[in-house]
Amino acid sequence: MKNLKVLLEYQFLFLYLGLILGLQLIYVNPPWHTNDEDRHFYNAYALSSGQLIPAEEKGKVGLFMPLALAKDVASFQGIRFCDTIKVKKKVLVELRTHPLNKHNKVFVENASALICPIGYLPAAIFIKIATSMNLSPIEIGYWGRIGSLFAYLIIIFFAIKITPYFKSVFFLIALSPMSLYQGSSVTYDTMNLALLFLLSALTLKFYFQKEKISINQLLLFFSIAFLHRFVKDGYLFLYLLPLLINISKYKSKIYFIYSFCLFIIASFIPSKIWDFHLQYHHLAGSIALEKDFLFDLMGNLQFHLSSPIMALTDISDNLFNQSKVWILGSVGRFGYSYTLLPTWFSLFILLSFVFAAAFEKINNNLLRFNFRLLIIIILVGNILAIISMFYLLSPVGASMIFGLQGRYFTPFLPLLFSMAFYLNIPKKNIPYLHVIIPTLATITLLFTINYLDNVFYISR
Amino acid sequence: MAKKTQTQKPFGEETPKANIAKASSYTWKSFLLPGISLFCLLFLFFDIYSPKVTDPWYAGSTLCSKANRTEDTALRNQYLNEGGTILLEQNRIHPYHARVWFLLGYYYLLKQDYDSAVYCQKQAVERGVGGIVNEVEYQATEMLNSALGNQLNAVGFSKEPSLMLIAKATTYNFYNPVLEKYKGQVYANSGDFDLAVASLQKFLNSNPKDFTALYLLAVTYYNHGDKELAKEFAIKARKVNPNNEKLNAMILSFK
Repeated sequence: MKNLKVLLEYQFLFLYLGLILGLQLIYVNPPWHTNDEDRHFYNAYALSSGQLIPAEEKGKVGLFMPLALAKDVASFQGIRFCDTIKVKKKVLVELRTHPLNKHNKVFVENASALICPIGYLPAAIFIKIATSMNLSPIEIGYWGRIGSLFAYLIIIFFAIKITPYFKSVFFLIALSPMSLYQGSSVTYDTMNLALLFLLSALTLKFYFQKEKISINQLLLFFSIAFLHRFVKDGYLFLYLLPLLINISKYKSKIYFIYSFCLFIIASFIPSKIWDFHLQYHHLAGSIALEKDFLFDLMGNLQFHLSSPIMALTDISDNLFNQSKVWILGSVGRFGYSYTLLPTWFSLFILLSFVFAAAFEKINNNLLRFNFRLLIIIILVGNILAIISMFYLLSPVGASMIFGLQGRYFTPFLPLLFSMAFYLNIPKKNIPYLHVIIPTLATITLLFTINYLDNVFYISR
Repeated sequence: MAKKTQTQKPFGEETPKANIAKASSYTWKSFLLPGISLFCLLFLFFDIYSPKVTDPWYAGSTLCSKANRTEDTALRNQYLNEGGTILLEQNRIHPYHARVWFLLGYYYLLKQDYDSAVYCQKQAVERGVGGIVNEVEYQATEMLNSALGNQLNAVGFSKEPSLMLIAKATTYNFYNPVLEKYKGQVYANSGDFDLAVASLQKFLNSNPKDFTALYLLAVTYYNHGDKELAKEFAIKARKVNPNNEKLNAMILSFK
């Protein structure tokens, strides 16, 4: 009976639902349709075939890919899904008969080939297995997604297990349409999301544990941060989280200083290592996808510094102007077609997060106001830093922020919702909460799968 | 023993007893963060305050497009001047943006200043070529050809000035086949048979179904006395546009 109860804990429920519904998401998402999945898939395939150094041809960076694979990937790009343009399911069945011919390779230009491949490792392992079974390109694509999904499920399983409180919030957000969609795609965002959720969970563990924070725990946290830094840029503020915990929580003051040193190492060493690797091989810089505008971070910075008030007004106007799309994007905006879930449904998902956070019960009122406020400030600070960075990464002199998507904010959601919406009032146990939360997640995902199936596919 | 007691103590300044006592009550602080957060979330979600954000160059091109749709001449000129002023200023600040050159070229095209339109579109092509998405060079080339066509019409396709205009419009890093068609037209006009045929054939290699080029080639062969080839190209042209009276008359003359 006790064992059965353990198997119904949030982390196990997450595994069951994540596996069943994640596998469905893999197949309802058109092949190589997740944002940049084509390019990430090439990177994962290259890693699986031992191509660790990008190739260069006529001054362009790329990778050598089997011709059949490159053709099938290209056939799914640029589809403008609408009522009359959808993927025919019979086409997918037909594609399964395409042989890979893995030795017949062509050079495929890919600016993303310069990305560090560590984030693709789970997908690459499964791609390797699929390739060794002589599967077709489309099946290899699906196997890559399955590899990503497994890694996502395992890491988040531990995140939910580790966090002493707000398990339901982690559970709901990790199973939200956007998170699971990313988790079941071949992209570095899978590992990015999973590792940041794990760091968030560890922060809560450190904060709530009765024991002092040990050096081993700090090493674990910053090792994950170190690994994460290889996977994706832009989330440095999250590595600061343990430093927000009161210094008295550390075994000694020197541990706090260690913590800071580890933060510096995790934040800057990985990118330096990778830059050194690229410089060593004298690879050309990545080629801009767009050339109709000049994108130049330093040039843009210089331009905006000449009128900083105007720049601040621009950022604030963008925040208010684009926030709805960003919020919707953090819970459900899918693929190159940027298919949004219905607005009312996205609001329902967001309110379910609020509900889970508000009704969390914390023993002895241990979650202090100041800690919550600090966490919110750090998270909002990181969000504003990302927005400002994208402002600078937009065309020189542009007022409109270009290329920023709501999904970049999904990693902040578990901690942000937990800290912002936790209601610190005396609470009675809500009956059936343990049933309500998984039911909400299931309904949300089933609706999403059905919705995407209608948007992307036509049976005939 | 004392150490053990210390480690078992829950984190926080208050004692556990104080915490338990606090848990049975609540203050304004309990609702502060959730209240503010919910307000912010709903405020942003429902777009309660949504200022308009436009890149300055698009503010200029929007005015030009508005001018293009306006029938009232005075109003049209007003919009066009306002848009042009913005675009000229943006082009001065950002001469490296291919898209801004393109928009400025669009303004000149509407203003019927074809020399400037060709120059701007050429700049747009040369700066923008090579992108993978939002490829400005194709749109810019289309506008360049339209402006150049007007320039050539103005000089009646006469050889010297036309070839000079075409040379000025040539982009060094992007092949524009329409320039070959224009050259063909100029050579055909001036009676340079071989050059006209070579240019038109070159153009037709990439645009085999272009009616004007097929018709022009048929006429060129016809004028040169090669009726077989003239007929061949005239029939090809008729397949593209069966209702052209001049062409049909030419085909009838072969019988």
